[in-house]
Amino acid sequence: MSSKHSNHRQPLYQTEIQQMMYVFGEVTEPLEETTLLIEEIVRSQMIEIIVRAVQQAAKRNSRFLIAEDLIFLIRHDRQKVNTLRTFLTYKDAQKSAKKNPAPVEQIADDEGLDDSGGTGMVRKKIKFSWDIINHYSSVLEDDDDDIVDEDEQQAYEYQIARLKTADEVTRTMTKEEYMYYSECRQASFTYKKLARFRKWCEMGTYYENKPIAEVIDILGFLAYEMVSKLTETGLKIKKEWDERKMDEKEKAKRVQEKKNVGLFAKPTHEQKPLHPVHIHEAFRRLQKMSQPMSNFRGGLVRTNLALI
Amino acid sequence: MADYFDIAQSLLLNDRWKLWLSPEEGIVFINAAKDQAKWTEFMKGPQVSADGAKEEPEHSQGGSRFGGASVSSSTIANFRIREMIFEQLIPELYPDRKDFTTALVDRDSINDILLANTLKSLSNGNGIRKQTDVDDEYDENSDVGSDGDQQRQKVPAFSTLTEEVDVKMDIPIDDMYYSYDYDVEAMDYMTSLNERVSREELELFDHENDKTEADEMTKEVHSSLKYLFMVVNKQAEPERLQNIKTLLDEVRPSRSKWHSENIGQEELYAALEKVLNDLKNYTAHSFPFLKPVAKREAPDYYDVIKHPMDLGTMTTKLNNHQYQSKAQFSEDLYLIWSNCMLYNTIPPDNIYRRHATAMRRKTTDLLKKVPDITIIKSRADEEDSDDEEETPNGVANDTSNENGISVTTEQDRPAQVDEKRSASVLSEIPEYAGSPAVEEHEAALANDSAHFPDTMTPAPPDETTEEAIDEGNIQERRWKDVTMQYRYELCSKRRAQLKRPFPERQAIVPTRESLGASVDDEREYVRRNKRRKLAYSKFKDPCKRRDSAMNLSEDEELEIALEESFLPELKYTSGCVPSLPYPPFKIGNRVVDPSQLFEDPSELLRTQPSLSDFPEIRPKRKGILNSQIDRNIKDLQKVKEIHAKILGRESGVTDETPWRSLVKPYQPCCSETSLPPFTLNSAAAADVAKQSVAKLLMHSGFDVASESALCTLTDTFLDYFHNIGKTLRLYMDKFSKTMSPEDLLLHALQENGVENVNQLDTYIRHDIERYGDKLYDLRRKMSYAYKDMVKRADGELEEDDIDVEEAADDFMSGNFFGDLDMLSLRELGIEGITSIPRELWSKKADRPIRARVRRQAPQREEENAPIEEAVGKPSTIPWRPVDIHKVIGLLRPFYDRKRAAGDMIEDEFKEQAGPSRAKIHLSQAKVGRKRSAGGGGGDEPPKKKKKGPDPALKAQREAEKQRKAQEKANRLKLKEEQVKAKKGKGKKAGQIAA
Repeated sequence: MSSKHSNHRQPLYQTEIQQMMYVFGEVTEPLEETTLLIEEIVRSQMIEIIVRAVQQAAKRNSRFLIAEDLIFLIRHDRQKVNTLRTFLTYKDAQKSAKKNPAPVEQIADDEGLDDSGGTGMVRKKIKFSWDIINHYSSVLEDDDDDIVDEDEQQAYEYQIARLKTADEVTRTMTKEEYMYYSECRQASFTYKKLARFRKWCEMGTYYENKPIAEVIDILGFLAYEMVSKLTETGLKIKKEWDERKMDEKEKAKRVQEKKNVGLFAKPTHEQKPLHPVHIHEAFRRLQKMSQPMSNFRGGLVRTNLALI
Repeated sequence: MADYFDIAQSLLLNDRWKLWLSPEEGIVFINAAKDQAKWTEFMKGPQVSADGAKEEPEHSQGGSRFGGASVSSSTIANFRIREMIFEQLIPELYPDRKDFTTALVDRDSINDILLANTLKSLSNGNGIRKQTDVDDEYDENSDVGSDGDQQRQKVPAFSTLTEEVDVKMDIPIDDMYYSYDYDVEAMDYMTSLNERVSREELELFDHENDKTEADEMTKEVHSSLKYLFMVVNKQAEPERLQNIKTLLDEVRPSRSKWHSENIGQEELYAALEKVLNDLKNYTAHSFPFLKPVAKREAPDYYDVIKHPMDLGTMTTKLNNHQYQSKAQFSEDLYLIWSNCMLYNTIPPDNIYRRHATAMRRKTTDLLKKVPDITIIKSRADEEDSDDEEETPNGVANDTSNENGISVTTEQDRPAQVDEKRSASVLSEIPEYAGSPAVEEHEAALANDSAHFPDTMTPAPPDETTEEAIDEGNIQERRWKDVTMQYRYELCSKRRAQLKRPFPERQAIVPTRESLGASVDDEREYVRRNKRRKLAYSKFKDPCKRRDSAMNLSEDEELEIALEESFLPELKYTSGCVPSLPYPPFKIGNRVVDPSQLFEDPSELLRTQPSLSDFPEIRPKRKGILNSQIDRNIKDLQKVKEIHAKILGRESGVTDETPWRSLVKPYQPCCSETSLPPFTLNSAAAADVAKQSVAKLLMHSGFDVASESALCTLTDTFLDYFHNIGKTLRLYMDKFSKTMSPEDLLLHALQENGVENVNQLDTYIRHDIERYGDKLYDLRRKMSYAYKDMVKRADGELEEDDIDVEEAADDFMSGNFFGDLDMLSLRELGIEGITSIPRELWSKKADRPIRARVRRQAPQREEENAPIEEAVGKPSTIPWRPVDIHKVIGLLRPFYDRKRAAGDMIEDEFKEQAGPSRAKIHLSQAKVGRKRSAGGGGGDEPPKKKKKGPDPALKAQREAEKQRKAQEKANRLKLKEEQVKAKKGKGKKAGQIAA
């Protein structure tokens, strides 16, 4: 994680991270140290995830990772789980559609019938084995309730919220800026970069088999979420600190600036890039794990690496 | 010298010596104890050193001298007798322990003897010695004559006595120790015994066959063709049998060399020859006996042995047809062995003695198979049975069985052999009793020995091991006898187990019952042993015994006690627990018998008041969350039950017993008035907390939890709340002036792992409310699926459902009224079709009925739900109409406005039918809120009644808002409660848990 470490390691995702950070509210040109730091953090997190997921698979007595192994690790993060569940649902539908392409009329009819879903595809709900209810509902085969699940609803809401912020950000953009922005939004760790990704997180060392597409997709998603979280938390911290640092004079100046907005006024308060210290603090905050049981007990508490 | 002649005399009189001595040893004992002179001589005997006065040193000395494995049987007898005498003195060594030993001689007399001995040792004067002699005479029991002649008369009398009272039964074997050494013997013996038994069974089977099927006919046929004839006999017709028999006789293969006119000779000689050959082939031991002893080897042999015999000579005799019966033959055989024993006396472990012993054993075994036939000259028979129908050659006839060949039963034989053996033992006695005295009594001995077979043990085979090793005293022997079968079984079982690899072996699991039983038996054993020992000391005197015989019932009981032996090592293989004194065990104020602890504790604790009996513990009013959790648990249980039922049906197991009903709900046993005053100490609070933890465990899907797990969780729970309380206290003390209570609480929570209050909110909403909704939904679906399943299985394919569905389809497709043209299709020019084909309406028509049915389930359940809930839940408090004059002035304008808008009118009284409740449910459901259908049903309907004629969506949104507000309030309240509870530490643990 430290800079010493990153010295002798080839950074592979600088561009992507920079693009992602831009999407999440950073300046167009973030500091190189910051992106390097983020890359290193994400990388170590990825490795941690892979190691733990392989352990999880071993507990299932299997040598092959499946999506559930990964999701289990982040099961406490409902938002991510919901998003992933939706993702997997679509993926599943896509797969089944490819496998036995339904006659066109059939699809049309389906669309006509269940207008509530609006997806046009019969989707199978993804169920996780740690959900106790699923154990019992398994007796009901073809358990197709048309009611949209709340989980999905939440995932949807989350997506909408993201889209909305993106919309707000892009509102004032010029055409070129928007083009660039939308290009940045496509940045991914894994999409069409499988070989690079595997090399980057040293997957071969920890997982001997070739990972299935789903696993790679989920890993890519998780990495993306990590960058997002780090950037957003970093920005928040920066804002906090900036506000605290601002003395009266500057505040007055800021107010003054706001007042005389004219055609030739100076550009208002240019955003400064995130510094590594912000990212460090963000990481610290995200890592903080409370140890309620060891309160008043003293002693050194050893903790796992928390997955962001 | 005082040589305990008195003790010997009294032992002789009350027959107790049989408890110590085997018959052979008994003979020696009786011989010696007949008069004092012989006794003294015997005690001084050639084997024993001069200082025979003290028993103990002598004993040990003897042990060291003859410590080897092979001690001649006479020496053994000598030692046994000494041991017996010694044991009589034990009570004097340990005067405090009255039940310690089985003293069979009057204690007073022993006392006197000892006294006399000490006196003697103090002063070695002659006078005192004389006095002792007088003492001895004086001390002898009144009915025991000191005279040798009188004694002579007693002995025969005694032998008759033995037949009446089987002393054998009284030999206690309880205090024998189980040793694995004995198992080797047991195994060898039993395997050989089993072989023999199976062989005998086979023979018996043949024998029966002879008797039942072929009868006389078969016997007439020569033995070599007997089996062939038997088979033929089964199939052939009776009239042809005679012919067949004749034929068989003619074609009979080469006549054996033993063939003769004499009846039975052939059979006997064949058997005898076999025995002889077998003995000769027993090369390990037979070589010294094959030829007559050469004079070169043993110059004095023919001086000692008057009737030499050997196997070679016997073969010659056999070939010359010199044996007339089996008895003659066996006499000769045993002569060989006894000759050997007689000649080779000097080193007791002489190699020739070993050979002879081995050969003797072999002989005994072999002779058992020889039919006891005495040869009868055939000419006499022919004369007797002239008129009888005879086979042409007249080898055998039907009368032969009656006169000639006497077949003795198997059981007789060992006894006879034993008799012979005991005789042969006697012939060795001269070893130590080489004095003429013994020879004098040969005749008397012969008399006695005739009686011994009655009381003798069926001689165990270890007596005939190659060496005359110490077979243990009679107690040991009896123990071996009694436990033989057990030990064999145990040992063979163990062997079988040992052959397997370790993980496959049967585990020796001491069950609660077996341990308890072993303790009980142990106790019973101790009691019985005590009784027996007391009884022995009581009945040492025959006179007293006669007196106490009046007390018959007790005697009988004693008999029973004596007959049964407790052998813990054999009975409880899984381990014996010696009975230890328990400290008194208390539950409450009651002292409980420890044995009760192994039983079901609920019975024991029933009388103790339970914590649940106290009204203080029961929550007066259940919070929303608490009741929701209760509901969820109920739903979950129901789901599980149905799940099990469905699975059972699918797998074909129709076990209808509801598995949950096995646990009975707790019934309070004490009335509230009789309860002790309630105190909430830390233990009680922990128990209450445990209850809450258990509830939460059930909520998360567990059915049972082990006590330890539950306790651990409870402790964690308590620790956690203790921590929160402590943190809160700290913040209160330090920052209560600068921070608001909410902040304090938030800080305390964050310190203890609740980063964000929203976490609590998420927990309640997600893990309780939504979980409950899901459960309820699942329960409905599953119960419907199950009903469906049951119906299908019962054959009444749900016509109704199909009808309903069809009707619905018909209705939609315009086919509802049959040919009536509802959609006026005819007018449109479409002929022949009055409705839209159903397939067009419903693409799912080809789907399984089950799925369709299930889709309809929620709607139908909706109709049933209110009734169900009315049963299951307490009825909700009805929403009273608002009287506008009674509300406070602040609210009046609000209500006025509502009234004007028509919001206040009850649903039922509204003119235009607004959207039905079901619709609201549906629309709610679409947004993902199924609350009204699920858990919220209890509280919400009244509120909904207040909804105005606004569009459904608006109403629903408002309801949502209201509900959220209420939830927030609830949660706030809950938090307050939590804080309170934390202060009260566990008082309201149930609610905190939520």
